[in-house]
Amino acid sequence: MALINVKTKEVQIKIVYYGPGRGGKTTNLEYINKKYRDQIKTEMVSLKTQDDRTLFFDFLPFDVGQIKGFDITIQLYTVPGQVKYNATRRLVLRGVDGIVFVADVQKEQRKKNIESLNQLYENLETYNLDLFKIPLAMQYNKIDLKQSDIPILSSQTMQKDLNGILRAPAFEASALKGGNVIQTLKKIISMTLGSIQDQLF
Amino acid sequence: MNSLTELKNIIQSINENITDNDIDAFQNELSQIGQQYEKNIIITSFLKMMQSLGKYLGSKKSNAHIDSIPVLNSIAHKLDKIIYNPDLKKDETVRILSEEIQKYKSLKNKIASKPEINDNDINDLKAVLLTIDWEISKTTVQNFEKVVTNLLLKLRNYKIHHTFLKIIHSTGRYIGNQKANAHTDSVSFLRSVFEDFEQIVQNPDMPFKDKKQALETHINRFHEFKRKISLKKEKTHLTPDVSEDEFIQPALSHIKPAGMHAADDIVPLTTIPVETEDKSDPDSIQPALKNKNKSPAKPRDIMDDLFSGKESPADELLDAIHLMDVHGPNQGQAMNMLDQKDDLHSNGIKNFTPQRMDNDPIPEIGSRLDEFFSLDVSSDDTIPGDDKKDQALETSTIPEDDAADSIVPFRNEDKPFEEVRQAGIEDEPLPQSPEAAILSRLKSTVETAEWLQYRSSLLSINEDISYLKKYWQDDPDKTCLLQIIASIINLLKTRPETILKTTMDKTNKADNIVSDTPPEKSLGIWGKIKTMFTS
Repeated sequence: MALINVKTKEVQIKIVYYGPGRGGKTTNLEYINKKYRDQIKTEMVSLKTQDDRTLFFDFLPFDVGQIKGFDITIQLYTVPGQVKYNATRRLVLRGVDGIVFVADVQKEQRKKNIESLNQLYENLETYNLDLFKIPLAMQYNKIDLKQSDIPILSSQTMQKDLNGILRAPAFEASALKGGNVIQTLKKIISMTLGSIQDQLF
Repeated sequence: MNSLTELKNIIQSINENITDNDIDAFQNELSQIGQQYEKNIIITSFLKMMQSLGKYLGSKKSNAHIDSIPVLNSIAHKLDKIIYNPDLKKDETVRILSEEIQKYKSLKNKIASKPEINDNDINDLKAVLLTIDWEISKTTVQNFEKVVTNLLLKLRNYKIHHTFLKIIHSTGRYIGNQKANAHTDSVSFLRSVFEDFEQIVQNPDMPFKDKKQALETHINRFHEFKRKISLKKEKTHLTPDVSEDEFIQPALSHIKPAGMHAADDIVPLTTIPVETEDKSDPDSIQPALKNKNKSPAKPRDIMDDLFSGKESPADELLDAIHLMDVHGPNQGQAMNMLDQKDDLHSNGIKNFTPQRMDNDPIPEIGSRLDEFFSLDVSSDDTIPGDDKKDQALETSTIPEDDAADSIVPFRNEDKPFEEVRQAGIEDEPLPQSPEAAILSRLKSTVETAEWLQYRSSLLSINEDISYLKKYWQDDPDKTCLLQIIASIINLLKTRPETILKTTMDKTNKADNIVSDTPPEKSLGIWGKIKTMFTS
């Protein structure tokens, strides 16, 4: 749910980076935070453990400035990728406005990518959100591994596995090196703002 | 060889390895010496301590406390000194005895005491393991190393605890080294070892047998895990293509199994280009406007959205951390609490859920994001989606020789617009060059009076003017005009009320006129500036 304050002319949107564990979601945020530190001016928050209650996520809020007189604040979140943290994933997805699905191109992660995307659909359903309708960008991360000996899936396979039905914009990426990280981010912000622009501008 | 010499030899043997035979022989020798000195209270005291230590060593063997043998050696040495120095004064022998009794008691206390590990230690360990589970980074691995090394040192005298920690340490280091390539069972194995370790620490009264059994189970699992790792390594080397061709049900196929787009239908991807390939704008992969005319977006019921509550998501989640068992049995309660409506709907606040629309983002969105990310101005907002052939399914790519610094975000925006035109979008009214785009942006910014209210807008205008001045530095006419525009902008900025009042007057006037024809559009600042030159 995008938050719009027409009085103060502020818009706040929440983008969640979702995907299987160790797929590079946090690396995406770390790259954004590091590379655009001067523009972002806020700290990335990584919540670790609190007593016995554990809730993990990364949180990176920043203002992109004004568009047509509205101050736009973007909140980037990651979800914990590990299977057992589904409760947390659901929590983080609450009020989501746009999603970047970060898939891991390693062959051995193929099933996990699919499972994670299927679970994303179900988790969104708990908030009456439809994965087919929410602004979504796919990111096929760790593409740089093709230069090493590690076997990776082709982008065609990734598309078939994950994007055959969704048909969302897709990016090959190397979050570690920053390749296409900003393109993905810009695309999802642009899509999300585009989807609410009729209410604003 | 007398009994004392024999005893010293046996102790020497015990120092190397504790066997039942040695312990029996040790006890026999002690009995013989005891009979020999049965009336000497001091020597009898030494012998009693040694007998007791012998029994302990016999029962624990290699699991005995690390200080046991040194204490035994010390007592034996002092006993030897007293027996072979009968001239020692009584005070001196009593003092020696007292010292040895002190050492013996100290050892007894150490053995009887629980491992010196508190809740903080175990929580620290838990935290670093969960952190590794969450993300394997240099920092998390360093923290893990620090915490585990500290505990290893602290628990070095507790064989079972120490061995558990060694397994944790070894597995954690493997994960830290391999990172994403670590065996998929690594973290779950690490967690299971930790869970049993935690149980042992938190239940100090657990029978030794149970502790030992738990440890043995994990030692076996550790060996099994190591075997899996070596098998995985072999597999990686021997079978490079393990699962690419394997048929796996695609994601969401159970939701839309016979969707309108078959999986094969989506194949037209842009694969990773080689350096010489013409790289199209990576952001052009989503032709958002393609279906706009064919299937206009369904109007959304905004009123429904207005009444759904939203608090700051960060606050909600922080509340969840501190107040609820997010992963525990009270998950339902946690979710209910988050669903409670609150009083955050102050006047003017609207919430609604964005949905993918078939419209293009307005150009200001693209240009604002470009500016924010310090990018050049040509972005996907200048490339319409309508003309793209493959809807939303092209893949933005990064270069194959992707060195750390070689990936330039929005790299294609450095390309001249002519190249973009060649890509098949000639019919779009694209700017002729980057400076034309900046000029266009400058024009759209100053067309309304809004920029007067915001400092950031003025900064943006000044930046654009500076850029254009630099770009046109060889053209004195253009530079001069830019200088004039900059001066007027600054002048207007110092007297914003004038222009705002004019704009408001015009707006009010327009509102009051009832006419069939639309009211005339205000000239705006740009118009006013143009008028100054044309009049």
